[in-house]
Amino acid sequence: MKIETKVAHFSSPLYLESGRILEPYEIAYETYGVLNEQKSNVILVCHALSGSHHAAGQYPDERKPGWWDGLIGDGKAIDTTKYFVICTNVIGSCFGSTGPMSDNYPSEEPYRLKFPVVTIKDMIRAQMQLLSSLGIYHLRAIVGGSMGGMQALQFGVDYPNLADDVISLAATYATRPWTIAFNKVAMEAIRRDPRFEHGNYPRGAFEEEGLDGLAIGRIAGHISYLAPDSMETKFGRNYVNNDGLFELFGRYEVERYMEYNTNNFSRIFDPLSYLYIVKAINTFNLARGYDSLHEAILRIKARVHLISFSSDYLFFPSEMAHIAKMMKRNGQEHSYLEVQSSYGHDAFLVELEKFEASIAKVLQ
Amino acid sequence: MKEETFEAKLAHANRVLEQLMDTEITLEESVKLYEAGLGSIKEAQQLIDEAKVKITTIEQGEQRLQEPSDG
Repeated sequence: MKIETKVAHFSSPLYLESGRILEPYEIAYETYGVLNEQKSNVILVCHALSGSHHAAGQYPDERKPGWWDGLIGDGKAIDTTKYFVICTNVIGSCFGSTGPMSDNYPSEEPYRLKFPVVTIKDMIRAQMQLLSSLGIYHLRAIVGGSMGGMQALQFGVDYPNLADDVISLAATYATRPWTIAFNKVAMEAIRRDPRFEHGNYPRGAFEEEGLDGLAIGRIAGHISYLAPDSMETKFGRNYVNNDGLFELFGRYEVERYMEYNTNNFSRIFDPLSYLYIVKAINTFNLARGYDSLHEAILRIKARVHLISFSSDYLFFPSEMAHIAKMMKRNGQEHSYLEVQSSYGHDAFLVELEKFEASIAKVLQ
Repeated sequence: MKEETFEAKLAHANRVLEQLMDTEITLEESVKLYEAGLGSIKEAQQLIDEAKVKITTIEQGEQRLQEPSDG
């Protein structure tokens, strides 16, 4: 599989939903496979909250391959012998696209809290700019899970003629208070951490020792990405070897998992980016800018494929089923699959075998 | 005293093998030695199996920690 990683520079302004402008800006992206002459074999893949444009393949210095490596590759469901796959890092993120720690041009100081609030609509508008700079005006499909699934749906609504198929997994039509409440833990934990310094921490401040606030906030995230049954299977009531049961800070396996993942995470991910992206998730509402959700969904011309997971406690299957119901009533071409899973929200990243055939079928 | 480590068991088996090559050895002795050598090899194999189980358990544990997760 041919992989390329690039950064595109844009000197023209990006007009944001808030009325503010991002100028200039950069988009980091990765491509897999080969673009055909007609540019008719393009699939756009959208990442989730803490993901990046590195969706597949593995570089020599990496411990793990890209986040959807099981799905994207030669002969895989998103087959790179056939398709040219593009995945971009969303604006606001910290993996190469313009975000709050980027220079606030023309100064060399980071934006920090001066970075504008961006939305899912803004993220996809930026991706549209990238696509047109590459001379790509039509997509075979757009695929994404969680926040990536939000982007896929938003593409379908905002740019009805762009893609033949929209595949959205583990997402929703509008973020509900339940999810916003989980995100609140992260936002407050970051804000109230003294080392966050109201966003005025030095660049690279948390590379050695992560920010506790982000680590704590991420624990709330992990709880919402799993489910009672998946935790039971993964950890049971197992206690960490060499930790004492009557030692106050002795840990159950589930506690070790939370510590391990969130401490690492807080060294890698920028806390300001986390705040901005969480805000984008919170403000996601397909209906915004249109008269109603019905009006928004009615705009979609692509075939929409909705995949939910029965134990998803972040975006419930009923939310995806609601979109399917509306599309059915409107007579719009769509499919809806509720994958039976006890894994929780993360099933879209882990239990690929349960839905890869459905995706492969759409892309036949 | 019985030799406990994997390496010791293997060394014992090797020693037995050398003794078995001795052309002067009686049939009765050689059967005894053969039994003892095979016993050491079996015990060593068991140690390998146990080590394998341990490594798999540790790997699975680490894998559990590293499964992708995102919102």
